[in-house]
Amino acid sequence: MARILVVDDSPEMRHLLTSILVEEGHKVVVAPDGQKALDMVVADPPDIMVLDIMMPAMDGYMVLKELRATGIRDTTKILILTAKTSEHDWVRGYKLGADQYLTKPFDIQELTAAVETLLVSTREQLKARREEELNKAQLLSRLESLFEV
Amino acid sequence: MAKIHIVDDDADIRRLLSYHFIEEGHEVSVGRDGEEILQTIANDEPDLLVLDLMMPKLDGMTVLEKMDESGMRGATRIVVLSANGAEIDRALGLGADHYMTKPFDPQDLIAIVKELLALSRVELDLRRDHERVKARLMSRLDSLYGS
Repeated sequence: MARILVVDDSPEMRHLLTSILVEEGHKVVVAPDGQKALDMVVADPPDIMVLDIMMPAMDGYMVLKELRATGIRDTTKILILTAKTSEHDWVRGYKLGADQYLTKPFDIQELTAAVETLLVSTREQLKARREEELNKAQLLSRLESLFEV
Repeated sequence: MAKIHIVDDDADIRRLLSYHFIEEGHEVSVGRDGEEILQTIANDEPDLLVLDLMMPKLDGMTVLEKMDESGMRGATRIVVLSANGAEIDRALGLGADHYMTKPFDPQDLIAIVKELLALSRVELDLRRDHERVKARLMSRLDSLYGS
């Protein structure tokens, strides 16, 4: 059982995510925007933050940047859940320190499995995986530039 | 923000209540049966427990009895949910702070929770005594005017 903070500006998405996560046995809190999420993480760091990217005022990327500055990053694992599907976006997410990147629409099993994986993974494992993802992206973009006409 | 634990075997009730409480800014966890509650409370005492009375394995009234016997109640406020009002007096006597009869409006429950969280233990005890007197009076009236 983990303490999970869900950050999303859409009430429907918050409803869906909280229903899934509480039923999985987790303790859940929500934030409707990036600033509120930051305040909550600083006040009481959750085990996992499920973070939307496209939000008004302070978007998910800004939340990641701010978190890095506070150092709280070390206690909270971050799962990005976004409608942004391009390679550029997930590379940016991983570079800013996200531990997992999922895209909407998502599958319930996919989300719960990702949360479980994050919970059992050590910091080192997550760091190694992030680097692997970034290397993969680099390789892909090299391949693309090779075959570009 | 308070820690709220909801125990109900009905998934729709769990979903409905957890959504409303989480949106109110609370931290919410849920359970499906009475058996898990005592463990949950021992691990991390919630500020408020929403407890359904009719559950298949370990029902809510037995949970109240066990909590009462073991002195596990601590500072946790308890709201019981039930499909009928027959056991109000017994539930309140076993330490429940409030009794809600299903079906109810989630907004009413949210208001009650807000009220309970703001009260001290002494005020809660007074409030409960008042609720018990009210419940007894209502059941007397029912038996007088009931068919």
